[in-house]
Amino acid sequence: MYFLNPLACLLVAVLPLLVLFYLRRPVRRRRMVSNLYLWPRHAVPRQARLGLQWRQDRWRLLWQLLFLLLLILALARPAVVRGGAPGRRVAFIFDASASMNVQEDTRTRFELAREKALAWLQRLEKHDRVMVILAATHPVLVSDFQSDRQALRHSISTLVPTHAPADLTAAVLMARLAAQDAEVLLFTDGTAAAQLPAAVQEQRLHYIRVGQREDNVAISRLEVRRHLYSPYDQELFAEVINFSASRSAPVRFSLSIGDTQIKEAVFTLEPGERRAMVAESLRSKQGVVTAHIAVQDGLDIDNHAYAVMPQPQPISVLLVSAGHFFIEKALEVHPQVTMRTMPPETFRRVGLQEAFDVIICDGFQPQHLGPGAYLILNPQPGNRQAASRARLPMPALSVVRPQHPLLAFVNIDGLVLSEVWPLKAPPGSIVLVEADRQPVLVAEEHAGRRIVTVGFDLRAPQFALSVSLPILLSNVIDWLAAPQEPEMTSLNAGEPLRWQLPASLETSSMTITEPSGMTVRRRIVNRVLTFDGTMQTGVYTLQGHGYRRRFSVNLFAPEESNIQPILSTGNETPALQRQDTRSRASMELWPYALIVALLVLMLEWASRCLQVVRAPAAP
Amino acid sequence: MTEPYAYLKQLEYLTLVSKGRVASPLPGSRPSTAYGHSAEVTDYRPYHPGDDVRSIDWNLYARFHKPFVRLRHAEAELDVHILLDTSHSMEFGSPPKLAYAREIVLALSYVGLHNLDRVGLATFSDRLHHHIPLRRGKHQLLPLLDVLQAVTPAGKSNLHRAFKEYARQATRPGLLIIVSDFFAEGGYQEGLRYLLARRFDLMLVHVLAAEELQPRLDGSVTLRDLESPHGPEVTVDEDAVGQYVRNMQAFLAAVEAFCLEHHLTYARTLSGSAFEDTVARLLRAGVWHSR
Repeated sequence: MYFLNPLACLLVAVLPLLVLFYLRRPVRRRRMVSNLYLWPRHAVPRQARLGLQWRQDRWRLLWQLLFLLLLILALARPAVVRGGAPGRRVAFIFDASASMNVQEDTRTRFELAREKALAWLQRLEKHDRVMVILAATHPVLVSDFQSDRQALRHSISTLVPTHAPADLTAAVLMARLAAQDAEVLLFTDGTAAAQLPAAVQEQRLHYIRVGQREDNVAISRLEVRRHLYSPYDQELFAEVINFSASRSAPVRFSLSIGDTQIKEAVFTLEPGERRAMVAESLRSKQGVVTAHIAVQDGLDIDNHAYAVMPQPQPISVLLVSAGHFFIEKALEVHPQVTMRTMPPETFRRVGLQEAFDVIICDGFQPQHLGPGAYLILNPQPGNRQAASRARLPMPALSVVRPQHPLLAFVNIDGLVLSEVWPLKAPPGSIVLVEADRQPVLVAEEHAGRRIVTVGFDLRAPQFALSVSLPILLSNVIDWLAAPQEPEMTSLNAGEPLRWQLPASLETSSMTITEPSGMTVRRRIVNRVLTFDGTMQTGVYTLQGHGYRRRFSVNLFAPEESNIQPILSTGNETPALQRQDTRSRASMELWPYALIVALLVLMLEWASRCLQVVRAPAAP
Repeated sequence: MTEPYAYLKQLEYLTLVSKGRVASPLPGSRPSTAYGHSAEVTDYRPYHPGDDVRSIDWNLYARFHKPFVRLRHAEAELDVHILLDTSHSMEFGSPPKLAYAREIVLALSYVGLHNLDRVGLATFSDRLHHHIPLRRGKHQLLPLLDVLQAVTPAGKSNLHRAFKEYARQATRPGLLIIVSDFFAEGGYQEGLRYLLARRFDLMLVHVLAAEELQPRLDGSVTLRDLESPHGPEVTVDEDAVGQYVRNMQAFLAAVEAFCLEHHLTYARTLSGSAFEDTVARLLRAGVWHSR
């Protein structure tokens, strides 16, 4: 026996107090009677000097002590380990990963696993109890330990595999948590994904392997990405792999945007060979991209891949300047930029009348920078970004962070300008370019603001006439106008979606339409929608209150596409060890202690009543 | 407006019971021990010169040819002596036993005076206090009421001394009614025997409080005698109640046995009982009877 709340045992210290109460000499009241000679003279023994005495009703003290002890015992929540129902406990774990969808002859691997499980169910003894766990991305308890064979058969027959990888380790741990000594039967195809870490490998875990087929060709990647040499252009990248170890596979590859096929290729992949394909010049294209391979293989899920080509969003730019020819020309070549110019005097007078994605302040800085994106050129001394020192004559620029996206393809290292104004680098900012160890190009992102500050004049002929100016401006505009969190338009199956919604969207929930056509509604918490039901491959649609976005879910998991069984066949009918004839479980005893305590209390009360009744009646 | 003692009217059909013949020389309505001129013939004796010739029974003379005269008992007044215990112990009870005893004494006095008996009252504790001589007539009620209203509990009981003192003071025996709780450390038997020796016809009205028969103690209690407030104490608890009740039963049984042995009339009442119950209880005990 053990106690779930052992601190309650400290209440035993109260018991001596009760004994002291009994030992305490009572305060006697005085009472006048008509005679004394009829009263017994030695009814009460003489009192002890310490003021303590044993009272006559010691039995009541014992009753009350027993009652308090039982009450404390109940508060301490005693529990014992006792036997449960007879029979063994067996956990059936079904690998519901994507590879279990492989077609073996006429049935899939998962259907074979179900058949084997039903056969095992028939083989088990009558009192054996079976738990059913579906090992998907997260383990799902389908049925707790029970011996009702009909209910178990129904539970097993309703199981279906997913299009996502499975976490078998978590499933085994779930079974172990439910019963430490249970026999675990893991129905799996024995691929690389089904290999468990050594920590959970044990004697009572038995693999029941299904599937033999090993030939599979899969689309392992499909991406929409910026064109390498044309940042305003998009291209599609796809990769196909033959996972078979021995068979070459003739493949017909096709790529479509919407209903329009944009690429088709026929080729043969040798065992283990991969082939990449790129579709370029897709500037004006948008919609759902579908990649498909026609091939004779085991797994059909990875023969399709999907991507969403987002529509380019226009970038509104406000140029607050007295006139800057080079900047205006450089911005005009940006295909997404729509520009407005405004003199600084007008800006000071009327302020900001509408929202802009990027505000360029040329030699001018507003009094207050609210949330937004700013490019500040030539900050005047006294401004927040400008250092108090004097300008630096004839400095040479040196790039500090060449890998930063703002400096991609910008070649200004070693450029000598006539003069620069050194800047201050606020805490948390990134210094990109220095001149004589003084910052002259600083990027900062803080409290909803993105600020890029340039401490030299872009009109300087050494820079204005170079190709670096439009590239730097384009990088700056793209960096400033980029969303805070990039939209996740492509997910792997089983990967949860976390979608940041715009602040202007006033809604508490959104509807998600799955590839199967089923719709689910999810709540929005702090402008973030979370969805973990990406178990099917295909295109999902997120919509509500006029907002509509699409994202794709694909099986880009080599460990699932590689369907070769690597586990040995092993023993298909392992001997399950017989556990204790009675399985063990904890049972709390506090209700019984409480009942006995109440009985003791009633006995104490009854003894008091009997004492009163036993007194002789008046003549 | 209701008179305060209107209930006494209900007692006018009652008469105090005297077991023996009255030895009073004063003529009355009670059978006397002396021979007289009542209607009841009790005996005959030969005629002697000087006897009233009207008492000669001529039928006997015709039968025996000798004159015999009829002997008749005289009728005398009944002397009703009432002794009221006013010791401190009579203060006990709720209502106090003394207040209840006053009502009983008043009722007994009224019944006696209404039946033309001579009624006197004495109060006592360790000795006699007030003493109202025997008188007949309802005007005697006024001094009786005065005494009964003025009496307060005082003193320690000494029944032997008080009874002996009364026996000495009484000119002749009669019906002696003692209203008391008979709680006295010196006992009651000796005093009663002294009164019996003086040929008093004794009636004991034993007044008790309900708390005396079944005391209720809550925890340990120190008891002190009302008659000895500075005397010894007894500390008891609930367990002592049983022993006390047994002692009380033995005490009451002893009083009853003494009365039975000496042919005394004995009535026990509880203070606080309804007046009708008390009348009925005294009627059953033979203290009085209806005419």
